[in-house]
Amino acid sequence: MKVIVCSALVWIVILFSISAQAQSTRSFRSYADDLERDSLITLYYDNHLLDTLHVTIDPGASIAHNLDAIFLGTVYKWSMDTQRHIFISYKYPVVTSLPETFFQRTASGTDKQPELAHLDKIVSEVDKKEKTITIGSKSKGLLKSATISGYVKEKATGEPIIGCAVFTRSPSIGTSTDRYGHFTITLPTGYQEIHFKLVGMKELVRSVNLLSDGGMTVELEEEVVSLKEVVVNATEIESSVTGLDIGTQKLDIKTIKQIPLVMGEADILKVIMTLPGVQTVGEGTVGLNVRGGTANQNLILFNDAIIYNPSHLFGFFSSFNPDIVKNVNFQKGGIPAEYGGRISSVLSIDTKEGNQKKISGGGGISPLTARLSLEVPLRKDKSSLIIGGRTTYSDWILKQLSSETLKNSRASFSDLSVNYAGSLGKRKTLYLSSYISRDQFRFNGDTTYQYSNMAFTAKVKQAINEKTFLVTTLGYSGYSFSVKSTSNPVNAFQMKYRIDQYQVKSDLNFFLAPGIATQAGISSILYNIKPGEIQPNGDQSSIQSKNIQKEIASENALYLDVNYDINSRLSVGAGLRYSLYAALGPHDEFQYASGSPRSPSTIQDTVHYGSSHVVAFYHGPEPRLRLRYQLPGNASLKLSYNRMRQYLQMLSNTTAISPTDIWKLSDRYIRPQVGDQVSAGYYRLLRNGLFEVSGEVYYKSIQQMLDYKDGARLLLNEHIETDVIQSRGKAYGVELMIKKTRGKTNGWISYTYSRSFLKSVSPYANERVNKGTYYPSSYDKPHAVNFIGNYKFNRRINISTNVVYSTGRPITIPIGKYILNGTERLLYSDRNQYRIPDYFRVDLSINFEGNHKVRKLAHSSWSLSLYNVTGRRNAYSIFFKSENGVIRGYKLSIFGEPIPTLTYNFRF
Amino acid sequence: MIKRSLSIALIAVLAGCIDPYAPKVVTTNPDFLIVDAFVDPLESSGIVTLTRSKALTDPEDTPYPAESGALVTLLNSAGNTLQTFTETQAGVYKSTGAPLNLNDTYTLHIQTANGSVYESEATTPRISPPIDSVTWYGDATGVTVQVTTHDDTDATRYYFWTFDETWEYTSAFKSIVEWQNGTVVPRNEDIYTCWRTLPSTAILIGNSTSLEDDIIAKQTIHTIPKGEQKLGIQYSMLVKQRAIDEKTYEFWDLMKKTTEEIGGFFDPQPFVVKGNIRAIAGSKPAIGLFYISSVHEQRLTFTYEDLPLVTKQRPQFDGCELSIILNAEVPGYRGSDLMVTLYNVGDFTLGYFKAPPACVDCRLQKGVNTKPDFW
Repeated sequence: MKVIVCSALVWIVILFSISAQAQSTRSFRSYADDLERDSLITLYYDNHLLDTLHVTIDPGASIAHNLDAIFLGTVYKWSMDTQRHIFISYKYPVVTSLPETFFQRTASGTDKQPELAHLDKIVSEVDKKEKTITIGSKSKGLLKSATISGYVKEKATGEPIIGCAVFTRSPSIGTSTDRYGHFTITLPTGYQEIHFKLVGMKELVRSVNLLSDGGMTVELEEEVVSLKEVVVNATEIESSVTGLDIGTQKLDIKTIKQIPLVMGEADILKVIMTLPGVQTVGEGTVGLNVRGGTANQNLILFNDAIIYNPSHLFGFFSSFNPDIVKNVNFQKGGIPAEYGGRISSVLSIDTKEGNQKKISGGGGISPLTARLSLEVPLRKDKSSLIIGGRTTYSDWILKQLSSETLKNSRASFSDLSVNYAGSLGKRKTLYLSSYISRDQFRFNGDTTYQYSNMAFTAKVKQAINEKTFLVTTLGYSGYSFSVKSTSNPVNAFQMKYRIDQYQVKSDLNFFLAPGIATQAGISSILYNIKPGEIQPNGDQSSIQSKNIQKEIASENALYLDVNYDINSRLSVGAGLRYSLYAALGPHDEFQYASGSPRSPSTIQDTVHYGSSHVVAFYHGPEPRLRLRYQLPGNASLKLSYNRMRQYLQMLSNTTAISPTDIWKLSDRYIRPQVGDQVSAGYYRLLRNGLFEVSGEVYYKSIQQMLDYKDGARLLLNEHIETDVIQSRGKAYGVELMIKKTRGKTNGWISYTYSRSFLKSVSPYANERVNKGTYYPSSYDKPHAVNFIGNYKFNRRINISTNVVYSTGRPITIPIGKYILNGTERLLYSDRNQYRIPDYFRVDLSINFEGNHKVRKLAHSSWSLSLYNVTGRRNAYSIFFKSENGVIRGYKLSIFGEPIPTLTYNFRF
Repeated sequence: MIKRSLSIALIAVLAGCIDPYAPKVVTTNPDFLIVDAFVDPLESSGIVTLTRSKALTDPEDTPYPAESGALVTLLNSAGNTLQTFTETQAGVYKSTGAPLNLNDTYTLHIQTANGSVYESEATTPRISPPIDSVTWYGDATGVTVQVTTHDDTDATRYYFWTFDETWEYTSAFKSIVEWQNGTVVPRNEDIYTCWRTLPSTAILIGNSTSLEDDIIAKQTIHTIPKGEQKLGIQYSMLVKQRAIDEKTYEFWDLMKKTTEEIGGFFDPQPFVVKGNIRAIAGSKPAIGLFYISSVHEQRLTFTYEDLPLVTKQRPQFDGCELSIILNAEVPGYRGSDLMVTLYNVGDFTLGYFKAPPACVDCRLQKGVNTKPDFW
């Protein structure tokens, strides 16, 4: 079937240099040139006919709107086909697709076709798939709108495609596929062009004739040159403006893999750190401080299972194998009611489901690590398995070192994830996911540290009907660490910590009416913590064994979340989560004397709670609200509010996350944290989506945050409540970002102004840090600028750079000295009143792709990265030491030199 | 500690580095009052030392300003003044009085000359058990001194030690003559043998809370490197043991922690250790500790001859050489060298041996040439 283009059109493809787009009257040709440059559109027209045409363009309006305005009342017609070719013709519009009834009508000879003379160009053959499909039937009568429930998958592997934007341009209605590749969209009945768009995939436009509710399955093809573009926020351009999400970043693994990184590993958490609003206390840690929250306030989910310690090797690597990760969804504001249990953010990592058509895999080798992944179809198009593993050979490197101390040191890690996806009949899919990580390190043959994460989930997704999905998940997450010391037989010990979490939850998605998407669910978690056990190691050891009593608790929640498109401009998302928490016995609770600060010396009594007795009970509503108002000219305004409650907190009084930080359940004395956040955002597309500009502001307040008394001891402490100070936190900030999403050069630049403060809440003056005033938190870094840029030389070579600047983090420094007990000592300032020097770093990386033959055994690529190009010795910390009676300040830097890494990656 | 070393090791692997860093100079004196106050409840003698802080940039050798002219009093729980301290030297206040009631609580009250007022928390007297033994051993690195104690009643648990160490030493050369008004006369005063006494400076605390019994077994309180002057002739140490409460222990423990290096990967943040002295409204802040405990003492003495062979090493007198001054040069000599002895050739005294003062006068090495009572 061929579409023949009529009239005397001359097609010109012009690539001109950039000129400013003005609203004043200009020639049509210059407008057309701009259009072709800034979008993927090609225009076909006869310049001789149109060279006298002058037009006035509204840069904020859509292309269609502008074209309509230009040709209104003229003898010219315009039309656009599915390949985004725009044809401008004389008198008759170019037919870009055939009406469904074309054959019948031509057969009967009654239809009048436009003249097909003056054939200048034959537009390429339209794929069969692109003809109009009819959804539903007329038997249901004439409906105003109908709901399409569909499924988007990858053509080559059969894997579902997550986060694919599904939208129509006129009217502007959009949604995106969920974590299982499903989408539901309600559109006016009649002819619609539905766009399916995701970075790295060929955009697909489907013409549908929508009669009533129905379903459709769409297969997208991967763009063969995967490195064609890095789109930073892989959120589809349109959806960032039209969607309800605020403070949300969706990243696909291709984006993540392209950002230059130290030690040659694509690292999800490090990429998250480059986003506005995310801070970290220093290099070599993966603790995320999101919008002024602590590192433990982030819900980190790996296929729905909580990961407690997302770091390897002190935090130099994140725990996730990039090869099996499909996409990452990060929400720092407007968190839907589906999520709870942590205050600051939700980081949800989904793995691929595995190739359902053929065996494939990939891997990579870098100086410190090796990784491998394998995708195996078990039953073609029905079920698949994906296995990914990673390990390090840093042990081997340490052994090669000349220093005796380092030679006797060990540091190793590994992680393994096995995931299964398979259909259980037509409407049911089963997902099984497992994750295990293990870290071990030993310094100079003495103390051995070991920690391990474990997570398993089994999930059934069930389509009850076109409008209703039910997902039921059973999960287990665990984290444990142990410390073993053998060097001194008298003090030899073995210490253990362990947390186990069992979860069951059901989430129901259903569509009440057009424009109303609803999600409801119920979740129940059982925690079991062994907070610490120390035992002598060997007969000579005089260490007294000690076993801190177990902590048991249950956390249950119910939620309902409704997204309602009130009209084409205004959408509302409202949700309510109600969580109930109970700490359970057996438990011995110390009773403290009232009227004085809690301390071991004020313990008066111990109350024993029997098995399953409620020790402490907390509950409360967690309202969530999201609002979007579409402004004229491709812009939108969004507002959100959310309240979150956190019943499990990490105890840590070190600057960075350390492997021996422990998680503690709320009890009578340690109350749950409650966080409220209000945020507002403005989003705008410029130059037809070439640039995306966004600004978000937020204010956050947190009650019952934990801070620690000076020199608090957190490990093996039977009465931790005597060492913590309940504090109040507040944080606010502005996040600005400009992204260029297309073209040879792309990337983003962001600026964040943010503050974060704590204030001790205690009735006792000597328990209040800094006299009970607000003081900056250890991660309060007011100014942060991030730049990520990519330049594509050709299809095989691209270069990317990463520039990071931030204010130094607050520290406490000596401000004077004094003499006590005969020795000179330092007098420290109030907490966090000074700052370490500002942080600045530039990274570069060059990626070389192998040849682009589609059919070959394995595709490979080389990546050469240079971390810290300027070799700036960024301060990790500042410390002071008294040496021979003289007080000297020192600056500790982790990466003081540029660090080159070469990585070889392959996939088959 | 282990954690820190570990991270530093890793940093070494990863080309990490430590550079000197001079932060924006903090030149102003935070002007804290520093209180070191102790009362013995049995003898009811107390010593309170008041000093003030210095700016970080103040030179090393300027003394810490003493807080003179303060009114220091000890009050019981009823608010009665039991003792008033008298200033015996600048900033040092002493008192004596009747033994304290061990079941009462006491408060230290300080009013400085400029009117600032400070008060300690109410403190209960504690009684220290006797020291079981102070022992020492020598090895290739030097001498280690250890203390052993126990409390059968399990009441002490937290211990605090201080000590005074005294040692005998000599100068390099024994001088028998000295200048006097341009002539040389026999020296009457012995400036060859001296005794020096130093208080302990490290914070010496111990606890038995992790043990079933209240026992401190061979806790190291001091080490003396081999070859030091201290070990050259005879060494003596008076160990004082006090029982402290958990709060006082924590104070010293925190004080130790802040004095240690801070700023590593997993180290806690540095902080102000405040102690149990608080400033009454409007007064400048204070740091310090007031505690009441009885003291038990035990003296340890050993000589060079007692040292095992591996520890024996005579102290060196670096830069000490004799030079000769002839009789003719004596009247015009304007140098600082001291006369040591006669330069005789046969029966003729041609001149004198002399040496730098530090090699001759042992008092210049901070000792005194009067033998202590206990020697």
